[in-house]
Amino acid sequence: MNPTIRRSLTRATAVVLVAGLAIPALFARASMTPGFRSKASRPMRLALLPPHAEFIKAKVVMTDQMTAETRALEAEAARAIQDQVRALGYEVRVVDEAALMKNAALRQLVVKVNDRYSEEWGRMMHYPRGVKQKRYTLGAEVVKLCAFLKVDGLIVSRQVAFANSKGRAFMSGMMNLGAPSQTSYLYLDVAVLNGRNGQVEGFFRGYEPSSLGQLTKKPVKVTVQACAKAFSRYPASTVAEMVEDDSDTATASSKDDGEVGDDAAIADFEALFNKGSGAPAKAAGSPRN
Amino acid sequence: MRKRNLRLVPWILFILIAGAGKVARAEGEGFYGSLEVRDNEQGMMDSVRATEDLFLRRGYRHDGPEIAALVSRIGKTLAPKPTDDYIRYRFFVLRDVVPNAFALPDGQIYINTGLLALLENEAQLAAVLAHEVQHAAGHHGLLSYRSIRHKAIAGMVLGPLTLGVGDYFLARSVYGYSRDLESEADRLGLKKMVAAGYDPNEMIEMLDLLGEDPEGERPERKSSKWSTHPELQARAEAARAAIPGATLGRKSGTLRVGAPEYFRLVRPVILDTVEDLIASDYPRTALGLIAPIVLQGGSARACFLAGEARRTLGARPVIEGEQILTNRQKRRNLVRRAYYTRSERQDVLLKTEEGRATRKKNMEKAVTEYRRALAIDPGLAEAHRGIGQALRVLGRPKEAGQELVLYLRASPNAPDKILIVEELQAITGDIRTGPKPQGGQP
Repeated sequence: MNPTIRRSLTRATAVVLVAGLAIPALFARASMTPGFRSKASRPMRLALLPPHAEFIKAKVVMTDQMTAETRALEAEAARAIQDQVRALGYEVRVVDEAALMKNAALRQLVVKVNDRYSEEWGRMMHYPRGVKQKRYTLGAEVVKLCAFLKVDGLIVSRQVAFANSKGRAFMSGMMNLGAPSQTSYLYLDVAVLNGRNGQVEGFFRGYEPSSLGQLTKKPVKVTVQACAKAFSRYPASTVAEMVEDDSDTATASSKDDGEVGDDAAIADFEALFNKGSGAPAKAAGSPRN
Repeated sequence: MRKRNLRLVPWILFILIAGAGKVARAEGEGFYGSLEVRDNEQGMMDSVRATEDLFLRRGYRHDGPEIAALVSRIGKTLAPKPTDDYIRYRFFVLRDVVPNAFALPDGQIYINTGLLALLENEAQLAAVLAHEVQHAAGHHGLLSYRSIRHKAIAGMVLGPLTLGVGDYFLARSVYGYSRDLESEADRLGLKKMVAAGYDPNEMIEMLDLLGEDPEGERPERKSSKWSTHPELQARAEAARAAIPGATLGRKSGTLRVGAPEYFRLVRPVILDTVEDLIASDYPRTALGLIAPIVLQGGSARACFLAGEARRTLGARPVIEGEQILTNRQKRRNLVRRAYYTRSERQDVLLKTEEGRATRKKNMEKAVTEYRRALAIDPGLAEAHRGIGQALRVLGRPKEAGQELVLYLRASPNAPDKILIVEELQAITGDIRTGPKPQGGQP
């Protein structure tokens, strides 16, 4: 074979191989804070809030919202996320819709967290790397809900399903002179919120190409696959990465030395207040009185 | 022969474009008789029916039974007899700060707490509900769906043949149709509210209230060919012109406004809305709603919320009248809200001397409001927390710490205890090492 052709073929094969390896990475995206990676600020006892799904069906001439079909997607996402998180070794408490119906206080807290999350989700989708830089904090609403549920953190998820009808796919094919039409897909975004300060610690996305038939008739399969992709980079409960920015690790280890309770914090402040500023007082890590 | 055919091309194009233009001028009009749902509309109707369940499942419905009963009572006096099996009028309140109401084709009518809190009386509520009821009664949802569908099909044929010009006219007509239906709902709604005994002048007041923009984030948009609703001012003018005809034969003073009763029932909704507005970072709107209640000698909760609104304002000034901001500034505010986090926006303002002075003023006013709340109810522990957090921003750590200690002692099981303990520890550290400049997040 002509050496030029052989070289070209070798290069083409290498490009195809690299592209083949890169494509699965495109279907899963993750962004985590250094503390989450190193386990310092990673919540171990989690509460899973009811997932929210949106289903858009693109027909030949217009798009429809499929509100009735979202229920199945939401139920499957709740099951799939719960299974994934448990398999990774975390404790999960599932907050389901029945619990929300029964408890008005819990319902209000969950709605507030969801509203606040929706506000930040828009920004996170625009710039997911901001999670790594600790840019997104939901604040007191998350802390209050975690205290109510007695957990360390929350898992909030959003799903978007986009389905092309057969007619739409055919029309697109015709209009694009046989080129493949826009695919149907489902993506699942999962965020982990820290119960101590409301910080978004991790943001994971799983993308699953699909079809209208699969999305409506086999929501389990599609959701489980998207969920598996989203959690493909979620570290197991036993894994603690070594990270360069270890400010969270330092904070966490000082807390592990002796958790400062409210009584200790009050006593510490009052000792300092009574003696005047600069006076020695009890160390921050001193045990409760 | 070939030459003659070519000469026909511009004429064919002209006829097609003129046809598209004629479709574009088609006026939207409701149908108030019985209207059958077609097979291709069943999917849309299924989604509409599922919405009721969706809002309930997600906990979006407001819990207050009194306000729900008021909305339902007024709505039912305005609703006509259903013309179809699939229409059943039911009225719901959604806990949402956006001042909005909407109707679905099967007779579900929703009004947000954000709008209820903004309205001043029963007649204004009747104006909103009468408008929405007309959308459902006139099958506006179904007719819009059909209109868009037909125009989209026409666009697929005409679009390529007219090199996109036909598409332009058709897209324009979709919005024109929507504006026509809105005007019709206003016109017929006004008649309905008069028939139910409400003062139609309150529809004009209601439209004026909808135009308010305390956050400075709604740039004025002239009604264009691409608006779904006519301009608020134009709607108010149209209502003003229709009032003499609608009230013909009615004695002046016999039409109801119903302000005191409305205010009594809506007061808890206002407080809930103010709380939600603060949580959603709309403190100026919150302050506008709570200020009249505080001025009238409000409750401890009202004063506390006024303090919270002031503290959340941080470095943002209270806009005393919209004219201060230009449309460009409003657009910039809107973009900033979409892309920047709350603390980032505060940090931008704190870089200026003016921003720092504004924050100081807001924190001082917040402390005053919290203290007023404590004077009414000394047991309101959250007011101590608010004072502590405001004083910390003001650079008075010792007093701030004392207030936070009072909060922790008064509510040992507070759900946000963990955050306050951390704040107290930070204050203790500040006192030891000397004060540090505070960040933007109030």
